[in-house]
Amino acid sequence: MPPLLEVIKIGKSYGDSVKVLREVSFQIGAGECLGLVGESGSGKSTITRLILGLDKPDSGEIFVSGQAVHRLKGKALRHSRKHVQVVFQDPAASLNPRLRIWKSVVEPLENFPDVEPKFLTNVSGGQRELAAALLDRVGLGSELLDRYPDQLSGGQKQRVAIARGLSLEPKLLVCDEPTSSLDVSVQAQILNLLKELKEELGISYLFISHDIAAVRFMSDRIAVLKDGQLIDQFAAGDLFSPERHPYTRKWTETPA
Amino acid sequence: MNAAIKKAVLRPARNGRYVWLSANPLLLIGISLLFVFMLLALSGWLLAANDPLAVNMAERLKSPSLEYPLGTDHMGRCIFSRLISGARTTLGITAMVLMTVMVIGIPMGLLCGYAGGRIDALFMRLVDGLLALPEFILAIAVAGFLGPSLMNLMLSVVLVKWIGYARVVRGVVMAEREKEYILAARVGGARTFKLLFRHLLPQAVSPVMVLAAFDVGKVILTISSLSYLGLGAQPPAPEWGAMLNDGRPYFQTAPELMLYPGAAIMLVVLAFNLIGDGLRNVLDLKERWRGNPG
Repeated sequence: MPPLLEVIKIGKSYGDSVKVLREVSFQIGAGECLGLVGESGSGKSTITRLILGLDKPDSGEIFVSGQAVHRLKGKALRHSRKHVQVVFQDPAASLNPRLRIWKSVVEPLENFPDVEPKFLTNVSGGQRELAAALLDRVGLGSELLDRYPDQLSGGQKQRVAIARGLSLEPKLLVCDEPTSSLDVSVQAQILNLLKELKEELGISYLFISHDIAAVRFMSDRIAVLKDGQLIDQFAAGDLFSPERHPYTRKWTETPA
Repeated sequence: MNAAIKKAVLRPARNGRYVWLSANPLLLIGISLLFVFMLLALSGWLLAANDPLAVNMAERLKSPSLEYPLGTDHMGRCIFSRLISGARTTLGITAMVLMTVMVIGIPMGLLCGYAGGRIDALFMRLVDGLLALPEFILAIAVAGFLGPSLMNLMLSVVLVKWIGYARVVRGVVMAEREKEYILAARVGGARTFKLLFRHLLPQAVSPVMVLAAFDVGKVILTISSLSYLGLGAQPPAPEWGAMLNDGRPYFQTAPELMLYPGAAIMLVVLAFNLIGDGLRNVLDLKERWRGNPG
């Protein structure tokens, strides 16, 4: 059985000269969380875009459950999106300011009427009820359903974004720095929520962050990205092992 | 600015329309003016039940009276009735022009902004070409080539005006399309149609409204000017610009023949410009509040 996500030697440049990614390869197994650490500008967000199919790699291949998603176009690409969902960094930017919360949350389910997530099978009623169940899943009350994003706190908005990310019951959830625009006290709540959901629903995460403590808390394995190359990959427990790459060690010594 | 207005300006816009209006005396004046004109255009025939086309040479150039509230023109026609009837012509044509322009311009802008690449490049070259000619000259040329009539006048205005809407919408789409909520919607499996009409188009509503409010004034002026030049409404049809032209030979002896239609044009254009200004202020304020709540 192929791994859930397999990324093989992908490269990406913008313009003629700027090489953002060079031969990056990694895998994520079912139910596993891979933490991806790197400074800003190291190519983390480009990896997100490529895996989500928002951009095509210049070279290399990306497989989701054995399907070559980098070759998909049009309808096939749209349908492959059911399996990989995303939570972006800034929840204020990732929710349409002019849509009520419940509309944002159920939109993916509205787009794929054929998807019936296991955790929503006993919900009866229309889209609002589905939205309420999804919000409940991330610890939000149904009184938020009719609000607009700017009437919610940052942490609440990020929970809404997580609810939307989970709504299709994807196999993989890409979390692109999901806590770095939040207050410190809220960060811990969001991390706990993500960890609980992973254990309950058995989905895999690609957890991208520059916060090594958050990555260590969330991940089974950690990969370190520097200047577009993966320089180190190891089990989370081996973070402090003396075999680590000097760059990784530097990272663990200086609190970010 | 007095204290009450300051207070109203500083209150959040979410409280509704009342705050909008009291915070914007100009918007209020503009809307009131427009309301009066609409009322006159729709019900004015009750006040002066004269046929705007009926010629009565015995009654020419009369002063205002109960029967003719603003007097009669050089052919003995009731000026008030002609103004009212002209209001319907002018405002009706303007509304049709603006609707047509939006129906063409907004989808074009959405398409070009979202598709980018070659389609967008082709469109921009076309627009650059059209913009290289002063729009009024272009309208005159079109109206001149196709022959003077109201229909051709509308066509020539539409030909020039759709560009503005396409460009505004295209700009908004290009600014928004890489934002995270659009990416999230794409990842969520939204089809292009939904992205365009549910997520992108609503972001363009405010700038399009402001543009439209200003354009009403400009379109009225264009229609009146071209009618004045004889390229639009043809006699004896009552249209404000054409009425101005009709009254020109009598300017020395009966200046009111030009004064009334001129004042009507000025007031309506003023009303729409006030509304445009007011709307721009209100919508800008709202954007700022959205940016940093609390």
